[in-house]
Amino acid sequence: MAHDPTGVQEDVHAISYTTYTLVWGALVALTLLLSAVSVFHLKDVPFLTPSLAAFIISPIKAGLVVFYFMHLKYETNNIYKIMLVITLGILIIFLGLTWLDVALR
Amino acid sequence: MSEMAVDRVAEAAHAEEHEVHRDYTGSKIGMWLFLFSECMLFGGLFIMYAMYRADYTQSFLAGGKEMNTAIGVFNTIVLLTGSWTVAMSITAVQRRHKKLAIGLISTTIGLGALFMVLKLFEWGQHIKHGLYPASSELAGHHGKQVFFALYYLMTGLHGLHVIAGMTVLTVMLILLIRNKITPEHSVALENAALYWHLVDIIWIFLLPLFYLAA
Amino acid sequence: MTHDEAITSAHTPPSYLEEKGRHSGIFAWILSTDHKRIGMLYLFTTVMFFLVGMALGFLMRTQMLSPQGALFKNADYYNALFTLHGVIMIFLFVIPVVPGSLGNFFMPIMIGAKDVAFPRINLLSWYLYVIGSVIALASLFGSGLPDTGWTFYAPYSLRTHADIPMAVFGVFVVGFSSILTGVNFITTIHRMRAPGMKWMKMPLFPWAIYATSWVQVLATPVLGITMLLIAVERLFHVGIFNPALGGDPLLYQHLFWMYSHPAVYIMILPAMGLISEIIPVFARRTIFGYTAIVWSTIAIAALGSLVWAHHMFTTGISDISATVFSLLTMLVAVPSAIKVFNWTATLYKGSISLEPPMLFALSFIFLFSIGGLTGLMLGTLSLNVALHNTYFVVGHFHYVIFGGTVFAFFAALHYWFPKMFGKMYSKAAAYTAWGLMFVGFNIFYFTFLVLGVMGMPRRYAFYLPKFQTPQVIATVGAWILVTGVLIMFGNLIWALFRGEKAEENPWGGITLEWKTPSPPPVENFLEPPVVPDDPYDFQGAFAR
Repeated sequence: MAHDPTGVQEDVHAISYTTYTLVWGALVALTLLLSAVSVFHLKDVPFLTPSLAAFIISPIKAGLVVFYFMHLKYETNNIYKIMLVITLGILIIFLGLTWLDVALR
Repeated sequence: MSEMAVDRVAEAAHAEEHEVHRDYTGSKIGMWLFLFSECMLFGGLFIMYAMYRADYTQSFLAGGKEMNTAIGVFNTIVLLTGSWTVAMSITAVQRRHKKLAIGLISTTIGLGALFMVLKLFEWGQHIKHGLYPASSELAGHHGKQVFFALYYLMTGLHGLHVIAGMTVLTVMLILLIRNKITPEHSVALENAALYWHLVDIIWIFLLPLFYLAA
Repeated sequence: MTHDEAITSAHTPPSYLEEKGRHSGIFAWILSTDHKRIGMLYLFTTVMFFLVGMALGFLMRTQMLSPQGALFKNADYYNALFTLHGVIMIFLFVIPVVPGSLGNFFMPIMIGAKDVAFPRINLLSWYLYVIGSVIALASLFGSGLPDTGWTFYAPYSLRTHADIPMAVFGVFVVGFSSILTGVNFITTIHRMRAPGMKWMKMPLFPWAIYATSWVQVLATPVLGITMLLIAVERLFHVGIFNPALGGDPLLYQHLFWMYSHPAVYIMILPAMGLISEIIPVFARRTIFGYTAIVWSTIAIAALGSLVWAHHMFTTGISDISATVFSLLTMLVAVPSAIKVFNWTATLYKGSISLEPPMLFALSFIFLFSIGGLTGLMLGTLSLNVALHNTYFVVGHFHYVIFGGTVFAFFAALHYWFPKMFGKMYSKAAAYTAWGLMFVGFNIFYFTFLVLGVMGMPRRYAFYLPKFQTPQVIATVGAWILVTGVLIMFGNLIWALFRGEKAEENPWGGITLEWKTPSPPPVENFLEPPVVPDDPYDFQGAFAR
């Protein structure tokens, strides 16, 4: 990491148009699925209550954007993934410890 | 071993004289760090949303009923499509499809503008129905008051980020037209795209929290 | 010695102070992207704010000479004094001072880099800091005297006459500057370490700056959004923190301390890094437990984000959360104690020379230990209920931040002064200043601890006659302390203009900043620095 202070673009991955298009298709499909679940209340389908669906589908969508559109999947340098985990960890800690007060007050 | 080190520094120093601050990975790390900082900025608001939703569950469900779900979902697709085009523009630059890249970035900016127009239309509708902070319609309804406060704050801050992203992408467009963004030096565009994707991700979470809350 | 002669030979390029750039006069400084000049800009501005904050503190102490107030009978003036003292000292001095001035100047040199990763953003950070400061201070001339304390607690901050939106916007801008500095430093340390400088060969001050930067990047935005929300609430009455409109004011405190507790680690971690640099040099021993210090630095940064609600034990948060936060607070003591033990173990069997920097550093250990231990007392739920909002908290806080961060900053000023300016100050004056400060400080703040236990509440402009004797003792201590501070800065300023030329390496330091001329040239090093296997290997360094 520290060994190439001049590092010009050394790891250029041109991701194909097809990959991007497939990801975009998946994102749109997931959005429509999530909306359908919320609007039509598909009560008979297990695991697809509106709020649960939101908890599952939205992170999947965000993950698709982060890993494909933002190239995280293709980064050879692990630093970005470590940083992402740190940030998410802190956010979850902040949320959890605040909840400990607000929910149990 | 130290001699080798000295050689490498000399080499690096020599290279740096010609390549003033073109540290690709460094720029990327800096941008990601900034994005994580942005995540925490919105994180504060998400924490507030979670806590108030626990306090005022029923009002939040009722508040969600006031939302125009169709516009919300359509706007999500608008932003996702913008993310898609700006992501492809990087591939286009690297494959030297300059005209395509210009077209793709312009599309993203256009979609951003469309998003903002629809958003402002929505805000206008809400205000027309008396759903704005400190309105007489909301007076006394604590839960709904807070729901709409969060709605305006979170979509408003997000909207500011959309505008910032459009501005940055416009600068990238100019740089691209003037051949300042090339396959060898496309990090500025890549960072601008990263920013745009973050704005997209935040909206991905705002959609279920507000529009699909009911 | 031959090495020293070699680097001061005839073809030495001009130092960063003499370099003639594109601009002249003041513009050579305020438009410079050289990290050393930006460090100097920060040093100048932060010290200015320190002196202003100290003057306000001096007025407060003078007021407290008499139970009815020695200076004024209007409590509003006292409210304004402690609010301003807090805002200036916390946001404009202690948070930016070490990363901004010494971090900017020395972190790149110590990792063998020429500059930071983004020099122009570095300069932008300083401008944002100055602009934010000006905005925050301009709020004074708005609608009324500030009276919220530095914490801007809702709902009071929502209805006071002071110009809160402007003040919090200023804090927001200063926070943005802090975030950019953090981004810059993390990237610099990741990308620009000299070849051979592995993570575990990095000196401890850059390590401390690295951990601090993470806290700056991840915690400051939470303060930013909180400050913006206060402004929005004031301007549009959205009801987000206002209980009359359904808001939860405790949520404000949660968000505020989510940043402001980690902020005390932004203040203390770089100071701990400075102490880790100074102790080995003046004990002539390698630092004891390098790895443990590194990991405790990271642990403090991480645990620091888990304890914020210990500022809220008396506000009515849930019992379970209070208990959990009390337990987590105890945990932070572990890595802090690891550091203290490592510093003292470094001294053991060392050949200690009590030069001025070392005296300041040793006082840091003493004062910080008192601050830390009183902190444990305050972290205990039952004691907290009794001591919260008394002078005990004020005493504890000043032991940690003044006795800790600021004494470490003074230690480093004396340690690196010859490096930064190539001049040497009068050691006699430095010893005098240190003696006055150390004695005055303890008379002042230890009395505060006693006053707190006696029940003297903080932020009161007037008090019961029974507190007068200790109040007068504290004030006399404050006068002694101020005298010491003024002598110290007088000595340094005198040395800046009239000081003797300093030796290249007056203290025998072996980290990279001592392997370049004093003051350093613009590019930091005359020849590519050779990274030693162990940054504190004094035996090896002297054997060579």
